[in-house]
Amino acid sequence: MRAGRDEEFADFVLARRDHLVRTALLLTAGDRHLAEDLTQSTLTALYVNWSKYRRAGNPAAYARRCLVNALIDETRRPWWRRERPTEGIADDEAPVVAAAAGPQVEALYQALRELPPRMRAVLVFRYFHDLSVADTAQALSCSQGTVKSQCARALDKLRTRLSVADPDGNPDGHPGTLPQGVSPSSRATEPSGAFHV
Amino acid sequence: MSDLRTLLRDAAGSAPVAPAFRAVDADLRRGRRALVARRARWAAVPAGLLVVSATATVVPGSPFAPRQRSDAARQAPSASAPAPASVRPPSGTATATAVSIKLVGYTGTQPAGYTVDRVPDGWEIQAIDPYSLVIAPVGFKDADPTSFEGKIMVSKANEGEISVHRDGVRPLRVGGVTAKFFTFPGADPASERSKRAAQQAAGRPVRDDGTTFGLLLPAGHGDWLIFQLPDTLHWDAATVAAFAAGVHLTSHAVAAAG
Repeated sequence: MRAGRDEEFADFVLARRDHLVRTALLLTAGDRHLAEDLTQSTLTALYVNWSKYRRAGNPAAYARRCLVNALIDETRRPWWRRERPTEGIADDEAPVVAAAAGPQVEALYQALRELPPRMRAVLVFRYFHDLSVADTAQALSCSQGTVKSQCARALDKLRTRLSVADPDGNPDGHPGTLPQGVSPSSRATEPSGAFHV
Repeated sequence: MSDLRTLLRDAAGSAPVAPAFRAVDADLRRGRRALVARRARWAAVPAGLLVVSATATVVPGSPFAPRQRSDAARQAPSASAPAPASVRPPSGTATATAVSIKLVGYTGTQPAGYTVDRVPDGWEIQAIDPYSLVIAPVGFKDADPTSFEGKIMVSKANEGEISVHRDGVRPLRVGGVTAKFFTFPGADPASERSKRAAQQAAGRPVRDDGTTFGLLLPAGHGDWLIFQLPDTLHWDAATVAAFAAGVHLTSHAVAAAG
């Protein structure tokens, strides 16, 4: 029989693990193995710091922050080939999930892979979790200005990348159809059925 | 093409995810093991050990002086630097120093990006560029300068590395400033086994992770250095402080984006 921390943790895992994995899948640009690693690291950190998690005014935000921490620290694991601004994407870092996911999703993952992890996280929190700028800033431990600028840059990169990848893209170089309804300043409406950590 | 929200939801839902009820027991086991390991680790480290002031043995012009050097100073022969400071953990705090790798003065070339005053005995600078300083055992089999397993890696910390919240951070006095000493999230043995199996199945290189320690060190002008230190060094806090005090950021260093 589980008691106390174990029981509460097990309830959390049952309720939230799926959402954590799917968030991690986006944060890792479709690398299922790494997404599972990040989820496990996050859950382990949560278990170890369960009292902090319980005290957190916003438990979901605490869990999201743990996930981002795991992502950032993951990039510094000893075997990691560190991402450098001037280098392309190494073949052995290709996502595992994209091949069977359809061309649009595959193109999105490819575009996400070309973003630095925190920029990716900004997009995921703003447009997958529909967090406000303030909540995204809290999750990433940065300023709201940083969130706005990172988001704008990420959207620009995504538009460029996806307009190239989209065979039906505008020939005049207009930045594609990707987030025409999504601008860096747009505030998300409350999602229906959106994923939450 | 769909909008970004729809695309993200499609992407997140594109992979099968194991039901949580199948994973909960393994998650619990990992959590319990990590909790036990953390309690054991901190129980073995006396509370005062990590607050070691390297300034106690500082001499004028020593590496423990200002963190950021001018380019001119960087070009000065490092052989002229004073001998490594004699820093010792407080009495009664003897740890694994008997097997730790001692520091020796570094006399090699100091290219742009970073300079280093001391290296572990028997180690050499494997790579140094604007992004990172990599130090590895002489003749280390892994000569890839972008692979850091079993090596020391120092880099200019990027915004994410500076601002990220880490649990279990301990203060460490280094050359008159307070650095943050921490452990990078360790891999669970079971998780490692499953990852190795997946790497093998996918034909990817199989890697092992040991415990890796980290240090965030203020480097002046709002910059920070971040150190990645393998546990194979068996360093105590004083040695970590002495080594870190001898690494200098130059104006040519660039924080990697990742």
